[in-house]
Order: sequence, then C-alpha cells, then structure tokens
Amino acid sequence: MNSASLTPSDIKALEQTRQKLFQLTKHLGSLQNAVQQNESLPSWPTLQNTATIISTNLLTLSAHLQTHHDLFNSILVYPLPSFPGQTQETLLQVLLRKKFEPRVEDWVERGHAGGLACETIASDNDGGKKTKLTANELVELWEWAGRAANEEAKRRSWGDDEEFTLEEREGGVANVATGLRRRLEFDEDEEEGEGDTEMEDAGFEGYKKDPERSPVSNDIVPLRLEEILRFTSTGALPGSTTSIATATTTTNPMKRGRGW
Amino acid sequence: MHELLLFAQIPLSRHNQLLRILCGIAGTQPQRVVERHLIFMPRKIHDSRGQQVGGTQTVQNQQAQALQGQLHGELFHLQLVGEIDDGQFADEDGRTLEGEQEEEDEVMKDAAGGKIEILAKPEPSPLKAPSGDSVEKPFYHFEKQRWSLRFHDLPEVPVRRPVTSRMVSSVDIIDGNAIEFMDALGYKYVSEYILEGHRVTHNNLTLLLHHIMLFPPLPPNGTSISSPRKSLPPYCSLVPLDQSGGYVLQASALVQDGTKPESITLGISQLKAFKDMMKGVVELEIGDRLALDTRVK
Repeated sequence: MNSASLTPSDIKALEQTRQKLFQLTKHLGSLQNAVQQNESLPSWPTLQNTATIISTNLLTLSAHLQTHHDLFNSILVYPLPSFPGQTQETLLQVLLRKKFEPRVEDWVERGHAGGLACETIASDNDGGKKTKLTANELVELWEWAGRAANEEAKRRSWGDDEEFTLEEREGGVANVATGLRRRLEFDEDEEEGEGDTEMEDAGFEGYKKDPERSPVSNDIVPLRLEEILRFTSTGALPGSTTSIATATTTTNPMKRGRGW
Repeated sequence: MHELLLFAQIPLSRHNQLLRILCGIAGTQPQRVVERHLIFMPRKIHDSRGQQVGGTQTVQNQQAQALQGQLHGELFHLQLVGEIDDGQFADEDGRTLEGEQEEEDEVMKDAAGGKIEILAKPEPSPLKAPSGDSVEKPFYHFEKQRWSLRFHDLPEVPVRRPVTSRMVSSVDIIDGNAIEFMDALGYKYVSEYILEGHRVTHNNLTLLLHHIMLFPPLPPNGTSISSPRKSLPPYCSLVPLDQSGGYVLQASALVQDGTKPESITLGISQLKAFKDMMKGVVELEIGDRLALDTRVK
C-alpha cells in the first residue's frame, strides 16, 4: 500500500474492529463479574449463553481480521506531534508496543502448539494416506460430529443401558463394532450377576423391563398434564369435552383416545 | 384427610433415570404399583334448582334446609380402587378364566391394527408365568378383587399456597360386592383405567411415578359397556393414555387433620423443600385445579 493516508473504507474496517473488540471485552467483563461477584456459580443456562455469545464474538472478530488481513498488516501506528506524550505515556506505550506482552505470548504459544498437535493427530489417523486435515477442517468435523452423534443417539432406544442400545443388545453386544480401542464391558454373565443382587427386589423387576414393554415412538406430542388429571378425576378422555358417560358406546371415545 | 400435591410430567426416556434419582433421595427401593381404578358418577343429576323458585316466603326448618343442601349440592365422581398383581393379567394369547373373553381379545388384537402392534410389542416378559405352573397362575377374579372407595374433593383455590390441596377420603370395602354397593348408592360406572408405576416414600412424602393405561378398545360392534370388565386383558395390550409414553410424577403429603393449619403448613413446607431439591431434575408444579375437578357437571 503506497498511499500514506487511509481510505474511508479502511477507517471503517478499523472502527469495526474496535467495536467488535469492545463487544468482546464487554461480554468477557460481564462473565468475569458474574463469576466473581456471586458466591455460587451462575446457572448452567446462563453460563452457556454467555459462552455462546463470547464465542460468537470471537468468531466474528476473527472473520473480520481475516478479511482485512492485508490492510491491518500494512498499517503502522505512529504518534502525531500533538499527542500528549507526557501525560498519556502508558497509553502511548501500549499503542506503540509491537511485541505481545509476555503473558499473551504464552497464550499464543500454547494455542499454536495445540493447533499443531491437532494437525499431527489428523495425519496419524489417516493411516499413512497423507491426506492431512487442516485445523479448520478438524474443527468443522468435530462440530459436526458432536451434533450428529447426539442426534443419532436420540433416535435409538437405550433402555436401561448407557453403552448399548436395545437393538444392539438384541443382536448380541459382542458383534457391535464400536470402533473404540478401549474394551467396553459387555460380559453378559457378569452383568447378569450384578443384576441379580441389585434388582432382586420386586420393585426393580418391573422397572427393568419397562422401556422394552411399551416401546412408544418419540415423536408423539405428550399429552398435557391437565388432560391426564382430568381423565383420572372424571373419566373424561382427552379431546372430549364431556365425560364419556354421555357416550353410548365405549368404542368411539376409545378410538379417539388412541388416535390422539 | 387432606392431601397436598405437586405434579410433574416426564417423557418415557427419563423414566428410569428419574426413578433412580428418587430412590437415591429416599434411600429406599421403589414399590411397584398396579392399580385398577373404576370411575363412577351419580346416576341421576338432580335439578340444581330447588322447589322454591320464585317468591316463596316459607320459612324452612333447619332439618329440611340441611336435606335440601344435600340434595341440591354438588355431586362428585367416586372411584373404586383395587390393587392388582402383574401376574393377574391375561396371557399373551388372551387366555383368561372366561372362555368367551378369549375370542374377544383375539378379535381386538386384529382389529386394533398396526398402531397397537407398535405399542404392544409381544415380549417374552417376566409377566408370563413359566409354562410349567400355568395352572397355578393367580388369574384375576373380579369377584375377589378388594376395592377401596375413594373420594377426591375439588381442590381448594390456591391462595398463596404453592401446592394443590384437597380433601380426600378412602374407605376400604372389606366385604360384599362393591359394584352392587355402588349401584345401590345410585352411582353408575363411567370408565376405568390401570395406574401403573412405582411408589417411593421419602420422609412424609409419597412419590408416585406412574402412567395411566387404558383397556384396549373392543371391536366396534355397538355394545356399550355399562359395567367394569370382569377380566383383565393381556398386559401388553393395554394402551397408554399418553401416547408419547410419558410418565407423571405425583408428590403428595397426607395430612390427617386438615383443619389444623400447622399440620398443613408442615406438609406444604416439606413438599416445597422437595420441590426445591428436585429443581433442575424435574419441575414440580401445582396441579390445575379445574382439571382435578371431580364434580359432575
């Protein structure tokens, strides 16, 4: 860039950076406040919200920096003669400093090392094919994987188990390809043995078999609690305004109840 | 007796988790509960207006007034509740004591079609007695069923009270034919359901995690059901009232003397403490007063 002065669009880009940084510091500050001021941690939803906001801020900021990379790289800071160098010395030093502060340097180093490690793992995992995933691709993959796995898991019925779905149990757990190097404990005998001691009480017998007995699809909207209570109080089936005592046949209201 | 209640609704997928949590909190094993509830209502609803419509000036004596009050007061649904055993449900193939019921159940299965098959997947469940001792299986005898008569009042208007509070009374019928008794009382059968779930007792609170099951619909041959069924269908053919398979958690405290404010307050505070403890696990709410209305309209 030859021209010494900045175009309006350049200034705009700088101004946007300032705004984005301001937003980021504001949110970071409020999170810090929330954590420090209250004795107990903020509730999970609040924390999560704040984290989402901050990460969005970071994302937009980094995207912004990426777009104006060339510009920002070529800009130099110098003080005007009219700058009150005597009174604002600290500010001046901050502005003119070209190297990171030592603390920040540590962060950057750590981040860099982490990024590099990700890349090496990616190349290792590919089994010598040399098709290396970039850090970005990796991030994308992980972002996708978490959600996809969760969604897939939601579609299965898990019953009582945290490791295998009912489907897999039926097909025999030994045949399941988990893709894990670690061995999951699926020794049936052992589990049966445990089950005997734990589930001996009559109460637990029923509960063990519960989910399998009434496999109900998940996409049906649950009945409102009021409807259930109304039925248990007066026998009025959901969807019917009057008690079924007024209906002459039981088949109709029953059908209505079933199709609800 | 007074009953203080809080309710919560949970999806099927959380049932086992919640049951474990409840057991952990209470430090006891859950008690399996299978109850058959028969709902009755008065056969004849009196004309809500008294005889003295208009400008009658007749001064009534007290007795007559009391009688009038009873005659024209609100009428309520009553319930007969009987506990049943898992083993008392009919076999998978609909085998029951009565021969004729068998056929009906078979037809029902066919008629019910696809949907019921999803809901009622035949399962070699422990419900089914081992083939050897099927003779000794405790089949359901309707005549031998023990009932208790239950009355639930319309819950009180929740004024600064964070829980549902209602008068309840339960009388065990230890002898005689309960159904005939209800008939003689002037009550007719309305409907019935099976309440299935687990009960956990935590200090003074009863935590009932349950769902409501309906009897499978009969083939549409136009016959009306004016009396409770004499036999139980196979367990797997029961249809959940809530098609999504959700469960209801009912936390309740029974107060023997509802007129004592201090007992009620104690019950409420314990329920509230439980509600606070369960925050984040399950949100217990006050029940809708009008949904719990047992009055005959």
